[in-house]
Amino acid sequence: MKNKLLLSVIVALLAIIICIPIWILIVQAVCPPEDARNISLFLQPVRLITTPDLQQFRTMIARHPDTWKYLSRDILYCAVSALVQCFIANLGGFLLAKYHGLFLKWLTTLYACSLLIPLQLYLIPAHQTIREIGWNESSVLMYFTVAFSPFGALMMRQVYRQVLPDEWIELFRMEDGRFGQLCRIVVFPAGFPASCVLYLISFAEGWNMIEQPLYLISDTRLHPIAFRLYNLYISEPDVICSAAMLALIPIPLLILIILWLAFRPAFSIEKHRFRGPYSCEASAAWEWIQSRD
Amino acid sequence: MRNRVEMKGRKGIYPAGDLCWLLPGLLGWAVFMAFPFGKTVMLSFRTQANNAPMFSAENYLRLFQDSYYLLSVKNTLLFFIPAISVTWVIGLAAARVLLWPVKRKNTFLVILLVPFFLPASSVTVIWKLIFGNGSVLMNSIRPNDQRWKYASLLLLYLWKNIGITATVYLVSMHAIDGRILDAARSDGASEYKVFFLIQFPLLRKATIYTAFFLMICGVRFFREAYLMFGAYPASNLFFVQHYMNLYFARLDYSRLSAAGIVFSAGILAITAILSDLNRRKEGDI
Repeated sequence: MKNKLLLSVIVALLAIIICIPIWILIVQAVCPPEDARNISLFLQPVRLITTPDLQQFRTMIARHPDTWKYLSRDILYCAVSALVQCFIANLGGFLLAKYHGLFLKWLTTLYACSLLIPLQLYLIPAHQTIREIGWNESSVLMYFTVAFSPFGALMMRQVYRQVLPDEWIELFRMEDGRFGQLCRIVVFPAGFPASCVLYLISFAEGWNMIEQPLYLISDTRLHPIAFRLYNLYISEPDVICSAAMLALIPIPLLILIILWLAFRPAFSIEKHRFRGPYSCEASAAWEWIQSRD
Repeated sequence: MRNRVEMKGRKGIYPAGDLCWLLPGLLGWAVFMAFPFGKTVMLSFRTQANNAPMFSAENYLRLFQDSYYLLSVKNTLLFFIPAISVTWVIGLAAARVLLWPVKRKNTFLVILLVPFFLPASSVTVIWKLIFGNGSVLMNSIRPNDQRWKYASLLLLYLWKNIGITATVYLVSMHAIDGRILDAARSDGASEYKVFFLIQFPLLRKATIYTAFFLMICGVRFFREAYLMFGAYPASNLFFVQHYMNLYFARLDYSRLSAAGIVFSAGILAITAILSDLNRRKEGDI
């Protein structure tokens, strides 16, 4: 009993240590702009508690009326690129996990190796090529690296190796299920929680972009909000905390949505029963699947 | 059913034609990663001199004589070896603590994971406020000390990555058969013995995976270093990617490419050694 209490205290302390930096940012974001300016310029120490005041946000939006436009644009691009990444990763991950062949083994190794190479090595030749073909200064360009990253395929490969028994695939093939049906009914629902996590990772990767705007885009209006903050720190210290806070909000919000979506009990693979010519056998298999669950 | 599966055969269950669905991802990877990387390799063998041969190893030779490059390699190693090791140890310890029945375990796990997903730009704003050049903390402890800047960046790396390391270990610990541990405990093994002699060796795959993952995070950590200290940081925080950035600004793509390729080759060599180690150990089992 005593040990259990001690453990809970240790865990709570660790949680507090992790939360302190986020708390500090929230407090500085809701203190008056004059104080925020002094804090950013180190003329006064950071506050740990304050009376909430949204003046900083109002000042920032008054100075940059197109903040919402850029924010919504960034959210849209990140959301779409993460969706593309999930789709590609699910297909690639399933094929890499369940199909066999030397080519697939090599491809997996190449995908893994390419993750360890710094982004600059892709971005600089890409920058040169883009300049040559004249397709310069497009913010969509930056998101291709997120949408086509091999990370997702490798992650989903590991997931499908664990969550998808061969028997499920065999059953659907016995029922003359096509690849599209197989993915829609069995593969994607089985990997749904992991796909949600992958969506979050890809979204955060897109939202976090620093190297891409640094190397590919020179027009500051096209820079994502995360990169724009870097310049804001020097030019507008009175609103930097509120801007940082605004850039932070989509991620915890997405984490909550993902947690609700991926792990809610209402979602069940059983809802997507396959209706094939051998429905009795399919039902028996689904009972087996349920018993395994 | 098994008979029908056998009748259909492996090619019927997994037809080669399905592999065409790999194409969208493969094409994207080839266009945005493999092809540009190939171009970088070619570029690294070219020199900027007018009468130089088509392919030459001059960039590589000059690279190893460049004191800035050697400094950046040294700094990168001196930062990431301790960063990865400490993250790994704390992550493992946190996972072990969470394995015991603790109240609100899932909430804590989510809290641990949150820093990993937060945008680097917002996180660096917080870090600048707490550990920045003129902050109260820095002024009261060690003003303008390079080692303090190093420590603040190291703390940022730990803060961001401990959660994900703990999660990977926790998932792997849950996968270990409880009966093995119970058998050891009933034989009188202490909790320390159970952990170090049974659980830890069984976590070998997770350890290698974590090392691989933390290296990827290390490669990406340049963005935090760049946002914290800019393109020209203190000499002990001048990493390989800063060096590459420097040559990007000078438009010397050949030198930049050579620097990047040598760096990547080093990381790939470490990964290959780890994978080989894993395979050998599997063979032993």
